[in-house]
Amino acid sequence: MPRPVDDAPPPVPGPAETRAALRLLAAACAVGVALWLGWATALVGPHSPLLRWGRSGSTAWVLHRAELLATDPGLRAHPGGQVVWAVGSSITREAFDEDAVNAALEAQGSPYRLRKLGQNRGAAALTVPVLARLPVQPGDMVIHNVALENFRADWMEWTRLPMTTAGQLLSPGALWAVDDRALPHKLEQAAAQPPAFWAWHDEVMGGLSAWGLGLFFYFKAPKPAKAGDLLRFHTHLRSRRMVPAQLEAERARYRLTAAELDLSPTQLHQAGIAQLRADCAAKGAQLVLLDIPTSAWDQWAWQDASARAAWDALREAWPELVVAPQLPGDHFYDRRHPNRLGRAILSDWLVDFLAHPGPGDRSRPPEAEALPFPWPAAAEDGAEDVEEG
Amino acid sequence: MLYNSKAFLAFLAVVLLVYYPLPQRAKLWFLLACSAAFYGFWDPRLLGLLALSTAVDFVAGRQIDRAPPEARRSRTAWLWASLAVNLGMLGFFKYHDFFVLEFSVLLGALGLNVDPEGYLLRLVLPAGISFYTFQTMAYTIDIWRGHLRHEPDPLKFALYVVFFPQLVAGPVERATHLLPQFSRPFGLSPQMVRQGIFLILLGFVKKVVFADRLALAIAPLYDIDALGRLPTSVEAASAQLLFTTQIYVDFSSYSDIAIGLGLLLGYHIRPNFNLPFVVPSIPERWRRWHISMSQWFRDYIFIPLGGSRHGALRTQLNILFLMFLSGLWHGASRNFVVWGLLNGLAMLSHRWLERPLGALRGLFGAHPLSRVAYFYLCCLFTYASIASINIFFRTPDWSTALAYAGQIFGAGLGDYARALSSLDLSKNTVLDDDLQLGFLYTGLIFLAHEGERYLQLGAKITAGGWAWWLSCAGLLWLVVAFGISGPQFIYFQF
Repeated sequence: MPRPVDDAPPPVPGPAETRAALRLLAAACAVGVALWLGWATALVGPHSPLLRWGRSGSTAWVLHRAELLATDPGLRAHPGGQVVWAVGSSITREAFDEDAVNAALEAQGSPYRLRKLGQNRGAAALTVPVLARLPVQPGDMVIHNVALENFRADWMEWTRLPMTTAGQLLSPGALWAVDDRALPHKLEQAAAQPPAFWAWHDEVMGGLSAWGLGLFFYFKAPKPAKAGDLLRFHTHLRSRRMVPAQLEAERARYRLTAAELDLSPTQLHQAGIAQLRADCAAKGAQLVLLDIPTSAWDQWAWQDASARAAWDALREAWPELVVAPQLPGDHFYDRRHPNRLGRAILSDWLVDFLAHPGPGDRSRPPEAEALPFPWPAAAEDGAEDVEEG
Repeated sequence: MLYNSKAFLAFLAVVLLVYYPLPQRAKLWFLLACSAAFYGFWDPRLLGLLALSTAVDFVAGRQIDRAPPEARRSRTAWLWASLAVNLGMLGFFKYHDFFVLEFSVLLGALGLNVDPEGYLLRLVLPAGISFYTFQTMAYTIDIWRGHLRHEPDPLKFALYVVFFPQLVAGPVERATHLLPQFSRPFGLSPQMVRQGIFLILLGFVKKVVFADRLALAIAPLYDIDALGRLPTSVEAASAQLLFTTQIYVDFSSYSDIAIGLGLLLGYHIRPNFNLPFVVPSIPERWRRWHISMSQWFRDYIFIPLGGSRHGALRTQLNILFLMFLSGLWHGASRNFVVWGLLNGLAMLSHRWLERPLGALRGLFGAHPLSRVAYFYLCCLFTYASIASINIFFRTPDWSTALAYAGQIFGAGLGDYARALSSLDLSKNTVLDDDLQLGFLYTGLIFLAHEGERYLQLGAKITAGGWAWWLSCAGLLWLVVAFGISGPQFIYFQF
């Protein structure tokens, strides 16, 4: 039989040595915490200079744009000086061409100009903090797009929203209060102290890495990060992200029934809408809850009858509701996001809506218009990676 | 609870603040409670399995120890009870579905088509079960062999089983080494503090700066459905080479943190890795890699089977069987079984080629420069061999493994030569940014590894003074500035 493992541990240190060791440990921990907090407070946060090179998430870019708009002297330089704040999710981002809308508004002599801030997963509770940073004035209009899946009972868990994104927008208390997260997740988030360090760490690190790679690998200063499509919109006609093999996984995740919804006032985004209402009222701005209907295929194949009924009931409860036109199936690059064909229609509609406000048509597209997947190939396609929003 | 999580940082702060002032016995109770909280953080139900293994082995160990030496049957029966419960738990949670699927394939080959779907349980594998069951089985086996007396204090035994630094992914500590330490009075030396802090920080750098980045860089190349195509030969080869780096820094980082935490709490955990990244042969690699598990298999499987005492053929069969079991221990799938067998074949090949390799060594050994060149040539060959064998470790399923092997070995050398000749790092023509950075990280890890081999940097740093303070400050800054939140430790899945 093999001999036992007999490498005995070293002898036990004596009391004097132990005291010296504990003093050393205390000193090392104190220095370590000081170094960490020093780094965290000095260089990691929403105003870190390194964000100029490392900013990469859509939420970070939207917050940055909000800061810039807050101090933009030309914001209200146009006649009338009113601003339409389209603040919402990626659907808002994809639905409107800000430059085209503003050109049309200027041609019409409209008092409005559009400023668009659409972030991935930008439902109501995540829109409230963005709106708080904007210089909304009396007479302005706030347009927030609404979508049924934002009223899932398990929205936070289901979206797998990165806690860095959530931390950039919501306070630790607000995150703790989100009911649908399991206790270990809540404890994990509560332990993220200081909050700004954890929320902005990855993007500050991106800036630091850009400088490190630039200086030591490419021997030149890095270029500042660009928002690209994160503030503007994607230009492809069809998303190549989903392939048939992924369809079943997508269906399991996204197919919606009423049983998964929580339409009570305490649901995260129901409470968010109530807060939006209060904030707009306090600022004297008009709130519009805009339903940009998804594709017929999304409505008929991915939402069952109970979900559609719940959506109709919810929308009827909102006095601020406006419904945008139903787009044809090939005017989306996936189930829900308008492509450039859809964007052109919605941009024209928005210009017309601002001149002639109306509630919009709530009727559902016929089921026969649901284009089944795989969709027909687009004539021109400059496909890119897309995030659901 | 994961080491690389915010909750763990808060947990560690509480542990260190509360632990030191406590009296000796209270320290043990506190560690037991912390270990239970650590393990049950995500799912408290798993504590039941841990409690079962602990209780069964405590009783079995006591009964084996109390029985007189002549009561061989009784002693052996209690040993079998311990093995049955531990292996039963492991078999049920880890291997049930694997054997159902393989059995249905066998029946299909015999013409009896059975749909296995109705028999699959799809159980979640409890974290660390492969580790703590082996640790407790070693305890009862050592008592049965007469190498160890039963620990009469259930608190100390329970703490030996659930000691949180090494509970989930090793090192697999022998009772002869760890258990007696719980009976010693608490003592800490400045050297233990320096070494502990250095190892913890080094482990975090390896994990959150290197391993997680490598993991994220190569992961897309293994998801062929999402990729929409097979990776190119260069991509597949690069991914495998980088995975070999990743698994080293990932697994060794866990052991570093475990050993460092043990030191800060006043306990010595044995090293689990001894510079295994740059090695001239696969047998040498296994002597230096996951040492605690290798020694477990050697002492409790290989030697009882006869080891190398019954001739060359029996020895080789024992080695092959051992590596087969090692593969099976790593995972319940055909991939891991093949991985283990390939490792076994590699070890046997080294035996078969001992003479010609010895002759080559002699030839190159004439001059120091040629000796060093030959050494690193062997290391490069071993690294590539390990990367090749690891195709079956990393790929998610059998068909992907075969596809990967086809891509890597099916391409002619001309394909690789053409790719390398068109390589332009500034224009990123062959590999994407992440893969290029992965090779940069591999180079840095290689330099650190060889620095430790030739200069014993670790010992020099932890000897104290400014070198220690500056090194730790530098490591801390790397973690704080460049750490990313990535996948869990690889060996958590075993």
